[in-house]
Amino acid sequence: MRIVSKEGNELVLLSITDDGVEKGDYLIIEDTKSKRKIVVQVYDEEYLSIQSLVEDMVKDEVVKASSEEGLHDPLNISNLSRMIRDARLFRCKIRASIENGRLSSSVSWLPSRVDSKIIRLNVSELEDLLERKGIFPITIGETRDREEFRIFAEDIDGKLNIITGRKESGKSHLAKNLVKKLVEHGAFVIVFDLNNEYSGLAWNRDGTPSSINDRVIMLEPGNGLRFGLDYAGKGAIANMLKHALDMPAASMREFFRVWDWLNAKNMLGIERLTSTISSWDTNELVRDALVSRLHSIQVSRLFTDDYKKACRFEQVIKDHSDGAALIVGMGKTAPAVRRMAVELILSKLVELLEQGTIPPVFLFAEEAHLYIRETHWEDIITRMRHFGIYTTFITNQPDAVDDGIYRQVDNIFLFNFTNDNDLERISRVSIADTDTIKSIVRTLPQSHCLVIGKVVHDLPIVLKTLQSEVMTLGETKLFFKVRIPA
Amino acid sequence: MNTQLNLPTSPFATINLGEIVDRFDRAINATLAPKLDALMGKQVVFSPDENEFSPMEGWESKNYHADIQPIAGIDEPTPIAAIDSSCVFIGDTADGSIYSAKCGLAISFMGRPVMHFKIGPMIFYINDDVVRSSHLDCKLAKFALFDTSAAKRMIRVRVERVIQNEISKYLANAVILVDGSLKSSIFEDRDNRFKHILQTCRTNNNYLVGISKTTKLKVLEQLASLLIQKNTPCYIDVESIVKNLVSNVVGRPLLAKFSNNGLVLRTDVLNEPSEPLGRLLVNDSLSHGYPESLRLAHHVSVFTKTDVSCIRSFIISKFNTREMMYEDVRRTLLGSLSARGF
Repeated sequence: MRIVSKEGNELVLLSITDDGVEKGDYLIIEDTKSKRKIVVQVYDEEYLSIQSLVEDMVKDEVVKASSEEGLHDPLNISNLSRMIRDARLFRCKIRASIENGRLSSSVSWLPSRVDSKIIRLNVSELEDLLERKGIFPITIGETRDREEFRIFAEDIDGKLNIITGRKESGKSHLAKNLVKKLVEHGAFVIVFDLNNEYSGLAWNRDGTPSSINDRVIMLEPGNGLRFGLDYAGKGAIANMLKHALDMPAASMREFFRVWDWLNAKNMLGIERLTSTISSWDTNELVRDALVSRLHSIQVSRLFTDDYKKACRFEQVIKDHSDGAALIVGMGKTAPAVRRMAVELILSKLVELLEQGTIPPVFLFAEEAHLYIRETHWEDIITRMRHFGIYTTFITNQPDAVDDGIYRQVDNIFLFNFTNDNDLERISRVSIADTDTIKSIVRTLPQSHCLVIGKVVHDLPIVLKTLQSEVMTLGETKLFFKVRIPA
Repeated sequence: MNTQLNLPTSPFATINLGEIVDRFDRAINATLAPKLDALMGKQVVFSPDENEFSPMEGWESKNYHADIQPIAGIDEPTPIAAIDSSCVFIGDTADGSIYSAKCGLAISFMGRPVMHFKIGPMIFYINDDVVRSSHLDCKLAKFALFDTSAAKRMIRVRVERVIQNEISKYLANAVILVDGSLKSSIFEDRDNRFKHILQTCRTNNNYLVGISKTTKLKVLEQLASLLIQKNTPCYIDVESIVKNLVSNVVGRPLLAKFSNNGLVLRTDVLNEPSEPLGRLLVNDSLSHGYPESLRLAHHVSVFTKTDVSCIRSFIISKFNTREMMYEDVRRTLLGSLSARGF
């Protein structure tokens, strides 16, 4: 391989023979005279397209098509011609330089076109240069050289992450793997599970209990996920009424009067609340508004007066001091109830974190735009992160995630997108350069992702994600179940 | 001494430019008169890049009289083998030059091309040893050694003759087409002389036909105008004209038009034209009046930029040669604004 040209932050390399280089690979360019090295990443591959070469090929094809060809090439020069016709240009982004054996982001020099040696860099060699270290490793996949690729739980701790890609590209597998490993390392993870698929975390693919079997806690509204009114607290209920049930301010004031009255009498409970509101002396319209919201609350089955059946996060965490995954199954839940449950959970978690009652938690939110109100996005990435809710969004609609989120994001796990609009969107707001995103992501095979961000020290890495160790649930139910084996 | 320039106090004061120009003018007119008045009202074909072109509808014919003979197709399956070659100059060493040659052989049968062979590229290093062993006349050998176009001509002639010789031995009852006129060359190798090829063709009942894309004989262009308007394949025998102008012609030169919309081409045959031309008409495709097999042989033999790059790479890698820096002498001396070739 040889350096051909440089345009901005980009080097173009010419490859005549098959160097086994692919998009996403890292190369070291060593200037053999100055003994300096730079690290570049291949983001695109194209043919060497010189006008005369194309003309030759067209002419050759026309001649070949006209009659059967015989060849007597005593010096085998046509072999060289074939090599030239198959020559590739690799477009690479300059990522770093190596100075004294360490990576440096400062690249203020240009390697020689004549005296440079170019070699491929394995991801493991790159990791050595990056000096990535941690105590809690999470193996998320393997590189092209079939080397295990690990990130460290510390690198997603306190961070905002996005897992995105088109449908069935492997996002959920990666998310489940992350959840499982975090729990194994003793973390507390809350999953907003839209397709009821994360309960499979408790089981291996062969049906045996997984390593976190006893730490997977399934919560569904009305089934495990029920709160006492006094535990939920006035603030959380207010948030729920306001944001999930659109209660007007006048009705809200009346509701709090009822709440305070019951609380003062130590009679706060869902049954009591219902009966009190029906007999409360107030404006007819306000009462109607309160009754209708109360009806929604009752139907949601999110509240109970039976304190034994009520969920208390701090208790769950106390009972599972070595980590737990709280899966909030919302697959069979009505959209309004989803929003109510999420409002309640997030408000309660913030309250508990503020009080220091629980340790920081990791939140995995699948297609969050379906149940998190718009104003909450900002809250999640600023205030909630500050208190200790570290969110990972999982979505197949990159345009559903607010621009503000992308700008604050620390890590992106990017699976395949072929749709130009999606690519445009993700490349515009991503933390990596547009060319890399557009070119690499467009051609990623299933289960391959481009990892960008702090987990890879800002050097984008392509890897194949691990096959799910746990039971895969949430598959689409099919009418025609018989399939021709692949 | 009157005519001498005085070069004293002011150097250019005594130079009479008008007088100098007048002198030049008279001298040039005396040596070669421009005769521009004779150009008045003439038909003209301008020549971009000094290439020669023919008028599409022919020149306004002077009162030439020629016996135009029709060509009748002979409907007998006959292989048509066309041979063409090319040679390029690759580079110089301190004591020789490197050339490369390619040869194309295309075969048509019953009106369509059936196969083609690419032969080469072959590389030749022409130095003193090579020309000495080439059995060339001493002067000719030096000419080939020091003149690039002569060396290229020698290589082409020798390579083509070998292929022509082998094909004339291999085929029987075929028409063998060669690019250019049928004439012997001073560069021929003694084992593959043109007369040997003619002999083999006679033995194997092959018809050797030479077809030239262009001719340097202006008079033939004038005669070609007679054929341009003809709508059927036909020819004119120009043997007497050509043999008066060119010495080493072996065959019988004709001007032939092979198709209705075709160009008029100088065509050399060995004997009676009707047999080879009639078979050619039926067994080859003649787009624009030019045999497809010969066109294919040309395309197969011609060098491309990629070929030349490959040959250079091959020489460097195979023979451990060292590429030297070079300069374009014209560019160095005249600067980048000089228009090359004019």
